[in-house]
Amino acid sequence: MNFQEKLTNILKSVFESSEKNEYDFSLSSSYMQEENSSDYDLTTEKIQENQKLFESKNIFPSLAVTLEYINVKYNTLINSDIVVREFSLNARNKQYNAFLLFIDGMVDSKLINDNVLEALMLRNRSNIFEGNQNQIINEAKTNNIAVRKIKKFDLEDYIFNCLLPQNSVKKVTNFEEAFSGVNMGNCLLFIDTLSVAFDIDVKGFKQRSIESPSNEIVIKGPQESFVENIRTNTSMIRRIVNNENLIIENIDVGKLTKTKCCVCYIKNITNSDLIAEVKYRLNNLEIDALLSSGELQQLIEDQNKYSVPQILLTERPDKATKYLYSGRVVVLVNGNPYVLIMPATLVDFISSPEDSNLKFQFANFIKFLRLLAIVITLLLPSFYVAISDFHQELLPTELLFSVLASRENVPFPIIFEILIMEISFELIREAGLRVPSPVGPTIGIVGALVLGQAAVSASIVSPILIIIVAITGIASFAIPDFSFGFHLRIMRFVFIFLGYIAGFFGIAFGICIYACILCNINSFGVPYMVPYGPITNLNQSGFFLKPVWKREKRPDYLNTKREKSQSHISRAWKYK
Amino acid sequence: MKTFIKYIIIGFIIIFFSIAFTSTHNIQSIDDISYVVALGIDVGEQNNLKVTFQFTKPTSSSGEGTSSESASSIVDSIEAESVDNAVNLINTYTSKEINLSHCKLIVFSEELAKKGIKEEIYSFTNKVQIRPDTNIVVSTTSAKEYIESVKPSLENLVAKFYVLLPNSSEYTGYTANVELGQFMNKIVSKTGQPIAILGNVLKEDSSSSSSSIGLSSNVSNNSKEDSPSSKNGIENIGVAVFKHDKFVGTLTANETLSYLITTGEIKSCNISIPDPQNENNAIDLFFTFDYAPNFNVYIINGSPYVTLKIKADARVSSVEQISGRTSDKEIREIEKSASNYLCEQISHYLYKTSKDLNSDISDIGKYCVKEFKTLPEFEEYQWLERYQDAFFKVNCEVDVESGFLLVGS
Amino acid sequence: MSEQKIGNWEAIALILTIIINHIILELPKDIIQTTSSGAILNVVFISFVALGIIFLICNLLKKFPGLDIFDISKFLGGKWLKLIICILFLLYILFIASTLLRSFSEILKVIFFPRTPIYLIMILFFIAIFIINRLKFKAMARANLFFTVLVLLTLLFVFLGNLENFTWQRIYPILGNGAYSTFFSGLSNLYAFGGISYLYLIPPYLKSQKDYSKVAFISILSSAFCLLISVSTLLFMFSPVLIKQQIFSLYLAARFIEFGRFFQRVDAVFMLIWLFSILYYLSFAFYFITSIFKKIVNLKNSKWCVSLFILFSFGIALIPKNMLEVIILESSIYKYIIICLIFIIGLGILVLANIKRLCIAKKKGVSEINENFY
Repeated sequence: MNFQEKLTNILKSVFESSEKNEYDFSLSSSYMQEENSSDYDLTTEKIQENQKLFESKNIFPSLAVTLEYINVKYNTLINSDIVVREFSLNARNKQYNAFLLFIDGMVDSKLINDNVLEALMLRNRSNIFEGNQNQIINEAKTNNIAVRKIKKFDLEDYIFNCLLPQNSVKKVTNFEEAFSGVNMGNCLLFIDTLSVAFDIDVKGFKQRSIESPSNEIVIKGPQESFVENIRTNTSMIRRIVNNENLIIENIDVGKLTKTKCCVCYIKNITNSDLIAEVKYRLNNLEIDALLSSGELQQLIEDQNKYSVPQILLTERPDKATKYLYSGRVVVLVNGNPYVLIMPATLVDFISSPEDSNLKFQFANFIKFLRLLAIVITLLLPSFYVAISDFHQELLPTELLFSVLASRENVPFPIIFEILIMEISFELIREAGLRVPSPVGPTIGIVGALVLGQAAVSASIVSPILIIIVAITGIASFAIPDFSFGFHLRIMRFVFIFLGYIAGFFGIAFGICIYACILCNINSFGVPYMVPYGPITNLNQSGFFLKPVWKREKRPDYLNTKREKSQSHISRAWKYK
Repeated sequence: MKTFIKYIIIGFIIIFFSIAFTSTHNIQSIDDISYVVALGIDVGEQNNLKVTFQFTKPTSSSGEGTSSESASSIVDSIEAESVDNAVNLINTYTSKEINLSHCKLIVFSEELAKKGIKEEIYSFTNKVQIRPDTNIVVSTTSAKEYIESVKPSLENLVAKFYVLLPNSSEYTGYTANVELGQFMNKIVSKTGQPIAILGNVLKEDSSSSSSSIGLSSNVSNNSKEDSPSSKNGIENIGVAVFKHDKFVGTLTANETLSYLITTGEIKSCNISIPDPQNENNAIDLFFTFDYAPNFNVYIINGSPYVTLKIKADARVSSVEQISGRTSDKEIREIEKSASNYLCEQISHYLYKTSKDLNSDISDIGKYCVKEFKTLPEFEEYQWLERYQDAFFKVNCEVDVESGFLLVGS
Repeated sequence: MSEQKIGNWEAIALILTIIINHIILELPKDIIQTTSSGAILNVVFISFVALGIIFLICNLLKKFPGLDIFDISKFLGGKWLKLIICILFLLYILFIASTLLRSFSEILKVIFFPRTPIYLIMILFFIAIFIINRLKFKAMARANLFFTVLVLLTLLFVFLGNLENFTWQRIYPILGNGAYSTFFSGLSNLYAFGGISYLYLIPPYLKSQKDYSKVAFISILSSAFCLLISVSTLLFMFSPVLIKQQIFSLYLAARFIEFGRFFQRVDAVFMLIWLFSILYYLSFAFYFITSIFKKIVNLKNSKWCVSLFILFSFGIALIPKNMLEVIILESSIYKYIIICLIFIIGLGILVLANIKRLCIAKKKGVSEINENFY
């Protein structure tokens, strides 16, 4: 190698940059465009037309065609958990081709083996009749003329009546129904020559067992909560309601997911307009997928402009039942341990399921505390800002001097200081939720104790402010409903800002508008601030509870079919 | 796009507005203000006022975490034409803005009070920061000296001391709790005249104050010696009497008690009365005045004739001789003596206000108004001028209900 | 138009708000100023007169259920009379609301914001009014109910909290400046019940027309009660000479309240609550202004109308040069305008309309008139 080559090599290795080979992944834009650019020149309509050609509604009588259709639809070649089990079916000594379609993992294989395959494949005594032999049902002889009632053999009926020892079997005729059954964990039986399939309930997937509620804890009261499975949930409600007037209607939401939702109500109590409205809203949701009750809540709420929650979510069957009996509608969503209760008013968001279990004096005391908690959460920090910036004369002199003394070395203005602390408090709360559970409590301790203490001793914030932020935080935990608490936490910042701008004037400005907005909201036709704005039988449905024997009427604003929930003298034993 | 523009506009309005609003007040924050707890006003040179401010400087003792504030007070005085002018001037000396909203005490010197303090009182009432429950004190010495001598021994905060001190009138009866609102009301009133708390600086050597506390010459009361108030450096005993806005005289502690009884401001107190059996002895009675004094004013030949009925309950709290006081007759005697004593004291007080001071501080005028049907008639009568022609008839009724724990007393 | 009917309690609260806000500001002061110690007697007297007028109005309106004064004036004098009455009422509400706003902003400036220019304070008011007016009338009325209760409580609280500062003898001399000034020239204090003007406007908003008289009576009775307690608070606390010099006397009275040594500086809280009520007063005023305007020009969508009137009012509120002019406006000029408009023109229209109705009824028979009417 001569010198020149060496030199060029060195120079090349130093200066030559190799071709850029970045990993550049981008999602291809819609397939339509690509196809448009190609020669096929398919318009959207044409594609849809083609798809329509391919879409078939009814089940084909020919098993092979059906099988082919299903293979295509379910992509059985690449979908690993779709099982198609082909076999021969014995009926009256004749054999028919058939296959079972189910999803592995969602069915109970033992159930399929014992109750479906065994019954269909094995010969048993009743099955050895001749093929098309007619069955004599009864025979009567009059004047030597024998009149025989004969039932013609019908394979479909025969299988349905005699060969499927299963409690829940449905005949389905179109693919759409059939597939939704399969997707839910049922097993489908297709038989040659029949344009009907059998939807056999053999669900056997693993699910969470009923546990005690984790987020709505009560001391005195039932300790079970909803689970993901919708049938378990409906069974829980039905068990507690224990009345045949409970209606549980099915509505599928989501064009692709077909999520099962159940609309529950008690027929002779709930206002029929309310039921119709709920069903109307659920039926008119043009969405592809519905995955949780939280989504559904947002989709069917009246006013989404404001952060005020207008539908109650609960994980407690007893709470749901209580509301059912007061004349409301409960909507369950499959796959979600939270059910929706509607309509919900402000009073519902600040009452806990425990209230009615306690003596009314205790309950009212707690309710009063909660009211206080709301005021504190919403307004305490803003009042602190307003008072210290504008209305120092409001503080008693001694308090003023202790505030002054505590703020002496703090370099920040009050608004900045309070924002730092409020935001870091929210951070601690959020972090405490998100960290893996073993670390969770540590975050709280580190965040709250160490940080607060350090901030005070470093004179970043004043101890009084720590007290205020801590009280606000504690008060916000005392609000029973999570989403309402969240709403208040957000509003708190608005009020801090208003208090900073114009002191009490700003706060009054905020409160006026806030109250007006609250009064403006309707939840499923029920004014949000009811029974206080407008006033409707305050005595019976107010925020503070009457003694349990005096809660005679259902809330007036729900216009229930049954007005009274107990007779005038509910403790009849006392007056007999 | 439309909503986007909307949000931009709303955001702009919010930002603009908050800046416009907050920039006008950013000086007002709690950190940037120093609070005056007491104001003293003296006569300065060349028709000026000498205004004394007392601030407290809150300092947190830097113990671990605990911040117990102890306020060291700073006294500063300045000469200016008016109080507002003085506030302005002192603002140039202090780094923080002066705020009067926690001012607890306004001290006028006797000299100024004699000249008339209407202008000052009006300007204080006109201020939003000054509260109507500020106490008004007329100091026998200069106001500055008065404020400087305040050394609260039981409280950390001077402000608290100022609030608590006049409250003692409720159970001692040696001074009155006079507040600015009340004072202002009385200045413009056509029925009564204002008073103020009489303040006095205790000198090291003098244990006897301006007003003799002894109830009467033959009943000596030695409460003065080693009284804790002497540690305070000041004492509020007695009352300064004003005629309109001019200081005209003082009331002694005894007369103040009579004043409080006639206005019904006192609920209970200890009074020593002469022993009916032994002239040289005194009996201490604990009086409770549950009934409002019953005034009646009649106008006879143009001059007012005032009758006063006072009803009080009393319990014997200390006597020199325990024995021999159990009989009903003895108690009646004590009652009689007490009633006589009260009548004597009160009519002395009333005649003093009427003849010597010519100032209706007990607000007797308001009982006189009843005699007139319309306001113009009353105004024509000129009650305040006629007050010196008034005659008084005092009638006291005292029920003595034995002692406290010792029944026989 | 959506359903904008309000219940009885909300209607009562609405009328109360209108009257109470004037009570909070200048009314009791003006009454005491004219009648001095006879004020209480005067208030009782004018309350009875007001109740009598209400009785009259209720009876006169009975024949015209669900109609407000404009519809009735249309019935009486056709389109032009309606137009005139509409404009009169519109200007009346606009001017009264603007001056009230101005005087309250002045007070706010004095008490809370000594360094803030007055127009900024007023702009904040206007933003609130604008936002509240974007919402439903129903919501306004409902929210107002809470605040009215609060404000009533504060008035009671000012009265009870100051009991120990009262000098009961100030009620004497009982006739004040003489019987003439208490009962005859004091009759002009009837303008205290200027809220009656809204009674002419609310019939279309009421859920049940049968309850109209109930609403009217309860609201006037309770506002008379409020007037009485606030007048007596002031009268018993300050000498009349002093009251003449005060602005915002009720606030000054609130400064005297103390419970123990700790709860003694609560006046800012009173201001907070009174602010609520002022804000709602203004919102109502502007709602009615826009609705009257809608009646004049037959507008359907009035969402932005309110901003127009807000600008108008902003201008009007800035006209008086100082607080003294505002007070003079309120206590002398408006006094007679209110009396003229409400108690003379309003009643006059009602009486004449009734007479006309009777005449038509005589001519045509009762059944036809009803048809004609609806």
